[in-house]
Amino acid sequence: MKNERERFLRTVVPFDTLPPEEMGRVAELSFEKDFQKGETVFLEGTASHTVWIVKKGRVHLENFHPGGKVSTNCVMAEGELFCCLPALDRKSYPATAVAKTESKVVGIPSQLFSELMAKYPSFSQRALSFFCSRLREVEARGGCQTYESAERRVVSTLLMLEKKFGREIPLTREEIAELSGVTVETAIRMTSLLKKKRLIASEGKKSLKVDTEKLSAYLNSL
Amino acid sequence: MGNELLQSELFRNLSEEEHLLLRQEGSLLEFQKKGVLFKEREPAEAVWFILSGWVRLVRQSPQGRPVTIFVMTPKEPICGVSALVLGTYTATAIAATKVKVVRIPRDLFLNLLEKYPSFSKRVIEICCKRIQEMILSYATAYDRVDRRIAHVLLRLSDDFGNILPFTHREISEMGGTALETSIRVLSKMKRKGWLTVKRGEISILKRAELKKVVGL
Repeated sequence: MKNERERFLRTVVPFDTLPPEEMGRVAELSFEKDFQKGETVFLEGTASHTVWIVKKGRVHLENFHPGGKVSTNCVMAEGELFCCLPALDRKSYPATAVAKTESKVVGIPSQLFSELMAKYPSFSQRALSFFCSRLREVEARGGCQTYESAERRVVSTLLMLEKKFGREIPLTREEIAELSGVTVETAIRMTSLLKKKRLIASEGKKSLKVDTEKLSAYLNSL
Repeated sequence: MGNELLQSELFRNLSEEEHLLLRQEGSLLEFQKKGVLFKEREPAEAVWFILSGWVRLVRQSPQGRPVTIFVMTPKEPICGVSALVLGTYTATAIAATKVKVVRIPRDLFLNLLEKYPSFSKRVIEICCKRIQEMILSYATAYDRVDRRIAHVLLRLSDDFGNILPFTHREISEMGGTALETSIRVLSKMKRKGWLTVKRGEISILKRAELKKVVGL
């Protein structure tokens, strides 16, 4: 189990920079946990002692708003590291993480993550590079979204998800709506429109297949 | 330049040699309000450290409208750090008040990151925090307008205290609303006694009421 975890961690940024002996230690000190669909990995506001990686499945980071509205802020796919900030600033989790499919996650103690950053400059630099890329993505989503048409928002979201999941996006219309900041009805209407234009194809109600090149060209034309 | 920058938490633990290098190669610059520190898509040749004042990061919407995506203050001091990855700035940085900044050449900054794990760790923390704050602000982007405006006011008051040196237009840009909407919402809050407004300044009188609006 430990060897298998070690092999998995080697594929995850920034753990891929660690020397073998350290990787073994990380694999030993980390743990794995299974979650059923809909189960909570952690709650917003609770104390954080762990940095998480999705090993299998999918985890959404959500925030709850007054009136019961839920917004999905991030979708974490296999191999993605999430919620590192609490490991650095020792504050609580900024969002609730929910397994959206049957999932397996690896937990790395925050203290260990902090130690690795202090001990290995290459680990730290790789982590910085990773977070800078993520910051750029978030900046690109930018306040511009509030002025964009619903169609642009949905298309941008689909292209963002394609980078995570490949051409087959395993999300429901409702999940796409949350990420795009539109109502479910609008998401259904937009995806139907894109289907008619043969930019996407639906694989039932729970996934979509995108034609990346055509969809990107379409976004540029909007 | 030295003292303010070098006494800051981020740079305090560097060596004397590095302090000297920062003094030699960093540039202390001042910008008047509306001065441009750098432009979106320009090559990122430097990282910027804010000593005083505040800076808005602005992107153009598809309709050509400038949208403030983030506000940098001396508590959120590093500007342009995301450019380290791909080499171009992702937004335009505009001085929203008179600002004093230190411009640190990219290579020097990258060397400091490589040499000082604690420095690197702190920069990562700043990145992660910014990601989180931006995501949270987008989460409210489609929220009711009064909640969005209240959220902006509360966030700004965390950095500026109860007297916010902002215009209606600046609040509307940060809240992702039209100017007329922002004026309407702020007027309503003023009538309820939650704040006072004068030209270029908003004073929060009842923070607790604003918190209720956002559900805190």
